[in-house]
Amino acid sequence: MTPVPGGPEGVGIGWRREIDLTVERLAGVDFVEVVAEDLHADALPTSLEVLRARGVPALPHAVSLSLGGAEPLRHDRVEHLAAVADVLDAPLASDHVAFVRAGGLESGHLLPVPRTREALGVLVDNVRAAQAMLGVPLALENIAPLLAWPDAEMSEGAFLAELCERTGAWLLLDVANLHASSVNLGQDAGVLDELPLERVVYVHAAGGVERDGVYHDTHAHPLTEPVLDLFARLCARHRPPAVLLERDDRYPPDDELAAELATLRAVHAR
Amino acid sequence: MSREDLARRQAELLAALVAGGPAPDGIDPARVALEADALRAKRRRVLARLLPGDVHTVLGDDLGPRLDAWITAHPRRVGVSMRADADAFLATLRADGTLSRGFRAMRRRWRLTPGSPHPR
Repeated sequence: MTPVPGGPEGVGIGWRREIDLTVERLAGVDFVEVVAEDLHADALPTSLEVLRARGVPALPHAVSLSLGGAEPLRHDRVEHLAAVADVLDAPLASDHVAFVRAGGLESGHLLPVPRTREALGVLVDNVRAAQAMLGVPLALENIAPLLAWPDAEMSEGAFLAELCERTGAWLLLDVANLHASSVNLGQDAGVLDELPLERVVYVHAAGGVERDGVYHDTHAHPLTEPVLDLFARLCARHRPPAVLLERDDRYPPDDELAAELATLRAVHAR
Repeated sequence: MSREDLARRQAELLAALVAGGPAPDGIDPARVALEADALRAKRRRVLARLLPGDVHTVLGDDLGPRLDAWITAHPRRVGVSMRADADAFLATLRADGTLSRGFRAMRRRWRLTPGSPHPR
């Protein structure tokens, strides 16, 4: 059961323009997720209209709010997410526990925030401000870090738990990113003990590669065993309402995507 | 650490990652280099997808190195979309004669094509 009214249930896939027909054709897609910055609220892609007409929920997922950024929140970005959520009639919207701009520069990808009280305070302020502008509940996703800030005061699990508790935000838990934290930052396996699993609205799973002891969350490779194992352990402990496959590059044949969805469904339903 | 301190440290890290700044104290320089590589590769992929097919044809295997040089020399400023970034790269190709004047027409058609990938 989903804790958010109308929230996703079952198995979904990230909708991308490059695979729009594939997503339409794939059997057993219970919901899709769309990168909010890829959409114009006044002109949805036909493929998304087709899916919505079939009753497939589409959830907007933002990458540019920079909720972990210490600079003032960009209201135009939040307003765009709100408009897209509205036009999709989405039950919730999401972005990441990350920053993507600082000092006048854009990173182009999600960067970690220090796990300190002060950084948590900044996140809480930004999340509350974003929530006040959004017409739907906000879910926050853990990212795949390649580097660590010094002087962490809290574990990732405790950091995310307190963030959710203080803001009322939901958790979009990415198991591949948790695996990245484990490999790249040496995070211990007890993270599942600390995370507020009852606040997970859905799970992200994606493929990646490990090179020279570093896990790269590429979204361009098949799902790996450690990530599937982590998802299985999560389900055994507290089965999340839904899981979504992310694939962003080097798209495989349709049957390979179908097989990955079936694998996720089997683990989820176990 | 105050909000101002955090803003400064985030700006230092980002400058190290995309603008050739020094690795901030306390952060493993090897990981900073790794993240910098990842960000450059991401931007290269996004730019390559946004560029019209003719640019891929004209530049061939040179496109990757040309994009890397562009990316290193032009950190993306706040407010510059990936599309504007691709536009600016195209302008340099026209300015240095890599692309002929006739390319303008093709580019116009490209600009009118709705829908293009965004970084994620």
